[in-house]
Amino acid sequence: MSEVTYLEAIRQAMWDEMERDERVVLLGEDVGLYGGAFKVTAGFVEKFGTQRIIDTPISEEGFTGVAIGAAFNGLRPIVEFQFIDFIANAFNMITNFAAKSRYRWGAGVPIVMRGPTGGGVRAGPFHSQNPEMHFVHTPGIKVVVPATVADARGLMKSAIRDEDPVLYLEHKKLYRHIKVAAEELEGQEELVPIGKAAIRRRGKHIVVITYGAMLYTALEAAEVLAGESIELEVIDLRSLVPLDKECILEAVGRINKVILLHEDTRTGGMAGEIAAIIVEEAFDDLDGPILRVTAPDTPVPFAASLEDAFIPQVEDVVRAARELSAY
Amino acid sequence: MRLGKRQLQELLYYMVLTRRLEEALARLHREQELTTPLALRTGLEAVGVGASFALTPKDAIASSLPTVGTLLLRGVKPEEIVLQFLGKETSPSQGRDGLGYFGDLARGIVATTGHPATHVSVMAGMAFAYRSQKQERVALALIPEEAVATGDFHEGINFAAVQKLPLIIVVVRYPSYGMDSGVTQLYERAKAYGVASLPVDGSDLVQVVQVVETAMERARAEDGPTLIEAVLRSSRRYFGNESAIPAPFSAGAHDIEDDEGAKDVDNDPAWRFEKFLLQQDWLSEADRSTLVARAEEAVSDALRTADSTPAPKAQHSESAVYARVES
Repeated sequence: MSEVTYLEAIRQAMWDEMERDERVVLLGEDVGLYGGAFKVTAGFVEKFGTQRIIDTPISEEGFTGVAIGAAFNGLRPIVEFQFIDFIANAFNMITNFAAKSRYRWGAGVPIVMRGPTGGGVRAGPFHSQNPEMHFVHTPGIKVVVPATVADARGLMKSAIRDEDPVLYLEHKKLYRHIKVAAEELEGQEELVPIGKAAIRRRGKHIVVITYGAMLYTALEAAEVLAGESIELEVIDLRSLVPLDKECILEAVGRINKVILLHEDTRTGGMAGEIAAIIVEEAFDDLDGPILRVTAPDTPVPFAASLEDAFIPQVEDVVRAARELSAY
Repeated sequence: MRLGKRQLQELLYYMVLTRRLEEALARLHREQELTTPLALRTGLEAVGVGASFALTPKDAIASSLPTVGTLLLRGVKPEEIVLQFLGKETSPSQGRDGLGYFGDLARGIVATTGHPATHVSVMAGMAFAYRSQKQERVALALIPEEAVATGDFHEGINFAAVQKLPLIIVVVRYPSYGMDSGVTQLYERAKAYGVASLPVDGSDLVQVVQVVETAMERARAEDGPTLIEAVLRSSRRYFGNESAIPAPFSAGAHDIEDDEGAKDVDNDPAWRFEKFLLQQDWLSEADRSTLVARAEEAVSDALRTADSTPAPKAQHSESAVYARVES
C-alpha cells in the first residue's frame, strides 16, 4: 500500500494545479534544475519547462516583485522561499506592494508565497524561524498553516485559486514524517477552505488551540492526560488569516478552559491575539486563566539541548493542563 | 515614428496641460493648507509625456516620479487627477491613496509604493508575463536617480537581464538634488548587467520619444532590457503649503507665480518644445493661444468638479482589502 507524505501532498497539489491551469507558474531559488532544496519541485521543470518553472537569482525582494507583476498580467505565480527565514528579504515587497495594491487601486495580487518554516532539525537561528506574525499583522495577506497531509494538499489548491496573496507555511519537520495511506487521502476534500479550523480531537475539560507542527505535540499531550482523566479538545486553526473565530468561540462556550499553543515566540504571537478575542467576546464562558504555551522570546538556538528547551514540548502542555485543571 | 504637425501640437498641449495642472495642484496645496507632502516639480514634462507617448496602449508604465504627464497620456482625465490629489470620494482610489500612487491596469498604469524602485522588479514581472503569454508588449519603469542605490533596482534589472525581458528603465537625473546617488553617468552601470543603455537629453521631448522607441524596438526583437538615462537641463520643485514640506525638500522650491513672465526656452522642456515648433512653423501664435486656452479650460473644469465632490464618508473599508471577506 503506497503512502503519501506531507511533502508529496504539497508537490502533488502544485503539479495538479499546474496541469489544470496553465497560468500557474513557480519561481524561486533552485526550484528548476535542482528540484528545490527539499526536492518539493523535483521533476517540475522537465514537465512544465523553464517558462513556468523559473530558477531565479538569489533575490527574494526581486522575484517576489516579479511574481506580483506577472500576477497583474494574468499569471498565477507560486513563489518559493528556500527557507522561510529568507522571506525577511522580501518584506517590503510583500507588505507594501502585494498586500496593499487591491486596497489602494483595485489591483488584486493572486500569488502564493510558500516555504519551509519551523525548528526541530538543529538548523539554527536562520533556518528555523516562524515568521507568520509579521504577515498576520499586515492587512491584505492571507496566512495558512497546514498540519496534515490532506490540508497540505487542500490548502495549497485553495491558495493557488485564491484571488489574494496567500502565505503558505509548511513545516519542514513534517515533510517526510507525516504520511497517510494513499487511499485514505482519496476520500478527503480536494479544496480545503481558507479560514476554517478543524477539531482534531474531542474532549470536555480543556481546549488546546494550536496550528502547524504543534498539532502533534497537543495530540500527544492529550494521550498522556487521558490517563489522568483530563480530556483535551484539540483545535487545528489551519488558517491564521482569516481566523475561524466561530470555531474558537464555540469551543470556549462548551469547554471553558483554554490553552493556546504555538512554536512561534511569545510576545506578539498568535496566542495573544486569540486570548484577546476570547476575553472580549467570551469572557463569561471562562472558568480559569487563558494559558499560553509558546517558545520564549529569543532567536531559535542551534544546539539540540537549547532548541529542545526553546520549542514547546509535550511535557509543557501537560504541565499547563494540570495547572488549569486546578481551577 | 514620423510625427505630423497635429501630433506635435498635441504633444505640446499635453506638456502645457501637465504644467498648468501641476501648478493648480500646488496652488490648492497652499490655499487649502494641505499637509500631504507636495511631490511635484517642473522639468519632468518631456520625460513623462515623451515616454508615455512612445508606448502603445497595450504597453504598461509605472513611475515613482511626480509627473501627471505620464497619466494624462494614458487617458487619465484631469479631473481624476485632481480628485485623487485631494482624496475625494469619487477619486479613482476612493480616497484610499493619493496622486503619487495612481494605478489602473486597464489603462496600463501600475501604481508603485513609497520607495523609489519597488516597481522595477514588478515591471520585470509584467514583462515576463508578456513574453510567456506571447504578447508583443513592453513594460516601462520610470525612476529617479536616487533609486539606483536601492537593492530593488539591482534585483529588478538583474532579473530582467538574466531573462532578457522586454523592460525599459528610464532613470531621470536632476540637475541638482539632495539625495544624490554620487554617480555621474548612470547609464554606464548597465554594462555591468549586460544591459543596453542610452543617455538622452531629458528636457528634449523629441529625443525622449526617439530613445524610448529605440528601446522598444530592442524589446520587440527580444534583445532584452534597456536602461535610459534622461538628464534634465532644469527642474524645480513646486512650492505649496510651506509648513508641510520638510526642510531638505523645500530647498530651491519654486514659487509658481514667478514663472509666468520668464520662460526658459533653452532648458524648460515645455517652452523649449514650444520654441522649436514656432521656429519650424509647425505652430502659429494663434494655434498657441488656442492650445493654452484649451489646457486652462481643462484645468478649471477639473478644479470645479473636485470642488463640488465631497470627501469620502468616514468608514472602515475592510471589505476592500481582500477580494472576498469570509464571515
